Amino acid sequence: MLAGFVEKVVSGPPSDPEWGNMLDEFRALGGVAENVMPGWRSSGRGLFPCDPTKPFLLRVPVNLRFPIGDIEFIEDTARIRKEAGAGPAERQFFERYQETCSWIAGGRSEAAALISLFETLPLELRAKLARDFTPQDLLEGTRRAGVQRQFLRSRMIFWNNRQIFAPFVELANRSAKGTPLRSDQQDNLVLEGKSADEILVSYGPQDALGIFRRYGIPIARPHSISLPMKVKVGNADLTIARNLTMKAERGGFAIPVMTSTDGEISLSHLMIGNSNFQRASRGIFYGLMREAGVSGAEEAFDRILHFNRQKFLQLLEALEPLNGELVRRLRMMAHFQLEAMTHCIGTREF
Amino acid sequence: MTDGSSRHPRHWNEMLAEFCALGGRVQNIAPGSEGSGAGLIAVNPGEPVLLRVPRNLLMRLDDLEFIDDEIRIREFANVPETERRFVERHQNVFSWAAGGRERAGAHIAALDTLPAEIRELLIADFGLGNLLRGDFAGRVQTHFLQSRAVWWRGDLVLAPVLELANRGTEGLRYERGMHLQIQGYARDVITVRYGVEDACSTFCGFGAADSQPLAFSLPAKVRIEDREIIIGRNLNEGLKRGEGRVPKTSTEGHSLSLSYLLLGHRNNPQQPRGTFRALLRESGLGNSDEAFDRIVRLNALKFIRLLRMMEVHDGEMISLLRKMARHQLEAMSWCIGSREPGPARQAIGQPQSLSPQ
Repeated sequence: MLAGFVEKVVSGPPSDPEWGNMLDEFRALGGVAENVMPGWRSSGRGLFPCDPTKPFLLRVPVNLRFPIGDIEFIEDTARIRKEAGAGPAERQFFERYQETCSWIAGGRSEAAALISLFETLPLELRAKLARDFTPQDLLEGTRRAGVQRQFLRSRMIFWNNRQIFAPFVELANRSAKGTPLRSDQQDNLVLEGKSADEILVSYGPQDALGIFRRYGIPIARPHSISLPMKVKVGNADLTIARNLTMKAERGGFAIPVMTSTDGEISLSHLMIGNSNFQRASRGIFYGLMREAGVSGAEEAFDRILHFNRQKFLQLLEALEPLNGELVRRLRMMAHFQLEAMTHCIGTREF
Repeated sequence: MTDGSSRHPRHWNEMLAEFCALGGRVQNIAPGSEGSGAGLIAVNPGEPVLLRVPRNLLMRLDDLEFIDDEIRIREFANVPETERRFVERHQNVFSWAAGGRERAGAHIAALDTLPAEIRELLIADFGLGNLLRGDFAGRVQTHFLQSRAVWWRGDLVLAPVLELANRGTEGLRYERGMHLQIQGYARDVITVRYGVEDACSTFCGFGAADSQPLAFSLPAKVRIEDREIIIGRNLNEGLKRGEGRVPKTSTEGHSLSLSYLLLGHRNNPQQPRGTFRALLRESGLGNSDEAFDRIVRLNALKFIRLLRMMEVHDGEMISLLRKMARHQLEAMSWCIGSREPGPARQAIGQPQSLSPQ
């Protein structure tokens, strides 16, 4: 779900009895849901506390966390694949939930609206976007399949190294100031807090591009992550990916996972600007390259910055003669990303 | 850039005869046809063109004034009567009064259509007050002179005939010696290269949004340690150093002033940081990298802010400004690594005579 920019939604939220029934089923299967209810905003659907003065709580146990790969669409009905490990009660719950609260109840039309916006773009621009800025499969195959993929992409949560679908939690809109998801000692996925208004979940480590790729909306973020690329560092070949789920920790910072063999270095991702930690981007990179035993990190980092800036400026150039809602969103996303990249000042030791 | 009557061969030939009698030289050059947008063209593109303006016809902008909407040379200016008459007639038959005023006026009118908040931003962050504030006629005159002027031995001057040529990123270079001249082959339209400019100054000076290989900082102040660094934007104040050119520096109290600062260079991306490092080290300042990064960020944020502010607007001038901002950011991105300039120092009078760094 996404805050703002939600397109026309055909179906409304579930009725009170439907919602109550789904919560009962959820609880019967081990889930906990307290003080939550669906609601509407001008921007679309969302999740709200029933009593804003009290804390809300959603606890999703492992049996109710459905791996994205286990979900299929048969005649446009979302269900769990036969070969998946889910039990019969969980399967039935999932299908009813999709029909009452999620896919059929607005999720499909939201995803379809976004796909429609992309379809208005010239083919050449779509190809350019698919190379660097949108999921490659966004407009591949049939329209129906594209809508289904977009729905899952926008609702998916990365949890314990898996992409999962978490009922009820997925209904909450995202926000930079949202509540982070956490796990408890029983390995439940937990969304817990207090909110005077809508319940919002944090975007996590995504930058403006990452959010655009998932939700199709431009959101300013304090940091920027490099596009995938290859660059020389001294005599070594460095490959930078954009996998934010692979990370290590150093000095309280999430740093990329590095692998190095025979003059080839790979980084799972690379931060190239952060308004909250302006010295961190270069510092992390220099530290990793020092560890890899290569020289020339300073110039290589400049090249990485240059490559990224060029890509977003080229996107702005391609958008210049165009108009429309998605073009505006793309421009804003590029501005946000370029701005976050400027917050790379000096360096510090990592 | 002439109007119908001034393009008449007889008028043109009479003017050239007078020009040559005063020391000018013109070979293989004719005025562009009306409505073509071409100021000057090569009569025979297979042959080289030559246009030489003698010193006595180079008129300092400070010596010019507008009286009754005509360009005049100030009474006290040290210009002989014959030259004075020629220059004034040239302006009023071939240049200012022959389409130059209308073109400058169209640009100022287009700037005036910008939303108030963008005009304010252009004044505050990009130094465009002289084109956006004040009476319309005065701004048109300012823009006309800015867009036609050329540096000559420390002064901005108008060069009769030569000022009619189109300007662009490619084309013939100004040659400065005893005279100001251009020469070489031109494919039909004669274009003279901008001097040392970036996309921002090209927009401010010429009203064009052209890609440039260089990006210079906007005026800025940053602090390092207990010192203040003041960056100017006097692109003509430089010193030759090794193969390149560096800004002039001066120290006053705790302030270090740089006449300008290069932030990006497409053809020599190691130069910007290298030059800054060297200048600051020589001034006894360390940690120049962080200061440089801050100056780059300050600049980038101003252009990004402009882009963001224009997002909800449309129009020809908005499009031109967007293009300018993109080109400036693009040129700024060419800052990769560091290479310090050579040690030799020599004052530079006319920066445009150098190849850009």
